[in-house]
Amino acid sequence: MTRAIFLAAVLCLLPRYAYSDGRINFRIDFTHANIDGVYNHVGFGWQGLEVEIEKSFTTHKVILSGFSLGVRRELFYGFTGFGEAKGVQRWDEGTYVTFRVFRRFDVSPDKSWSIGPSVAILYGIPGTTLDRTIAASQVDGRLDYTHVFPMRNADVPTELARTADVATSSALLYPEVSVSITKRLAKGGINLEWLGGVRIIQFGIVDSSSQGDVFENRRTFIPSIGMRVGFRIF
Amino acid sequence: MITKRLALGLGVSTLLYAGCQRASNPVSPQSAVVEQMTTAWTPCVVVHSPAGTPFSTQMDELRKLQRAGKVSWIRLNTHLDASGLEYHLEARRMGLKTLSIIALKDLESAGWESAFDRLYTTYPSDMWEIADEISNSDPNVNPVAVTPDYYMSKLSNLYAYVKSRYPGVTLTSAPTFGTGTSGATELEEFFKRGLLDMDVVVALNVYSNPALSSYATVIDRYAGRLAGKRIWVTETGSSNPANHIAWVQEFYPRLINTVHPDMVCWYALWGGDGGTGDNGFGLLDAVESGHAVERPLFTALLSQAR
Repeated sequence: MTRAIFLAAVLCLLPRYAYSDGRINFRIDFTHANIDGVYNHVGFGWQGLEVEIEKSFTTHKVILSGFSLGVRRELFYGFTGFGEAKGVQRWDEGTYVTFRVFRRFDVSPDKSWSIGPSVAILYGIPGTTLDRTIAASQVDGRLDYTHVFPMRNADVPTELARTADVATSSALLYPEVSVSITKRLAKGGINLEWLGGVRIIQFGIVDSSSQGDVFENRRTFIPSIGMRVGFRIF
Repeated sequence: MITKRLALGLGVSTLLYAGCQRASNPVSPQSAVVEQMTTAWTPCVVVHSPAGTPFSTQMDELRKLQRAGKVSWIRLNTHLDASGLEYHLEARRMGLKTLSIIALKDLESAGWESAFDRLYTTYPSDMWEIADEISNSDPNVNPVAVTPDYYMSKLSNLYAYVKSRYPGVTLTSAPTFGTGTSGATELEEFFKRGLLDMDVVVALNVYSNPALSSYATVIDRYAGRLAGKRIWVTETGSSNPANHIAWVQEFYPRLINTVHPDMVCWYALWGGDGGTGDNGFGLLDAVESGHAVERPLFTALLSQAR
């Protein structure tokens, strides 16, 4: 049902009669999260790279200026293939597909500058990229730790999970809300976009120590800033 | 013109910011590899226990690691015929702690409680691992693999027996399968069948990235109930000696970050000599000759003595 609604929404947005821009966009962004546990707080940052195909409408559809579909990779250190060239990257660690809708408001007379909000949904497999642990060994050999992790809330299709050798329940679905300032260059052939946004991810937080064990899950608003460069391709 | 300069300026600023972010990332490879060396190492090694020359050679090499502060626990096999006892006794003399693994075939042949009674009185040990990977069909590990359901019913009975008869004993569950994603599924089966209701150490074997990634899914799902439980990675390692150091530098930190184990045991001190006999995991080679060849990780551990 959800899939059908999603497809219907995409089809409705297709600008069959509008004179629209089609672009390929490249985005780089930086995200930093501070998650407070009871005994420790865990701070971590990560970077993401996205490639997306964007469709901008010449005339706004409902309230939207366009939409995009893309693929996102979150940079993840630690996969160097253990000294071997092969297996440097694993697609199932920090790879997402994205769907974004946006609205732009022109803010300059020649329409070269615009500003506007966008909402994106990301679906993918975080793997271990967003797991973080702060730990300290105690004299009795036990470990005190604060462990934070994304609450994986979606499934991977069974066939894909089997092929890729991942657990079916390992996917994460979350929204990102952002605002961007766009500069159109070369008569709209190139777009430069500066963006700031918030990722809304449910994190699990475990504090385990001799003082006691505490677990909670918390919706976390994680700021992100970045830049998008787009080239008109159709 | 001004707007183009402004746009250019913002672009350059963003890229400069990117550079700063990357450089300051605490887990970037440049800083991680240089600073960590083998600091992620945890002091536990699996030791195979054949009689004869390998005994004296391995114990001599273990003393070096112990003096360097790189080993305080060893995992040893036990047998109903008491073979390998000399390793346990020597380890005790050296002040090393031992995790003793009881083979599934011994539990099945003598009866679980009876096998524990016999082995407990034979081998001095600080912790008892109840069976090796139960789903491993390698005949060297298990003559017959068993299901999590069967295992947990037996473990539950044994746990009650040991707690009543030997209240000070610490038990460890069978390590889950270390490659692929089946180990995570098995771990979840253990949890569903009551492992988290027992006061035991939860054991995992982890030999690959898919295994670690799938363990993360299960461990995070049960994070609340796992809080306060002890987790041991009783086997990890690389079969390529050239990658041993990289494994400690790169995989150990990920393992600790994801699984937060109390201990990680390297498999193994020695994995056989030469040709088909060497499984590549060993920190040592040529042990049967009496003059062990110390592989790069072993040497690196000694060179960074605490």
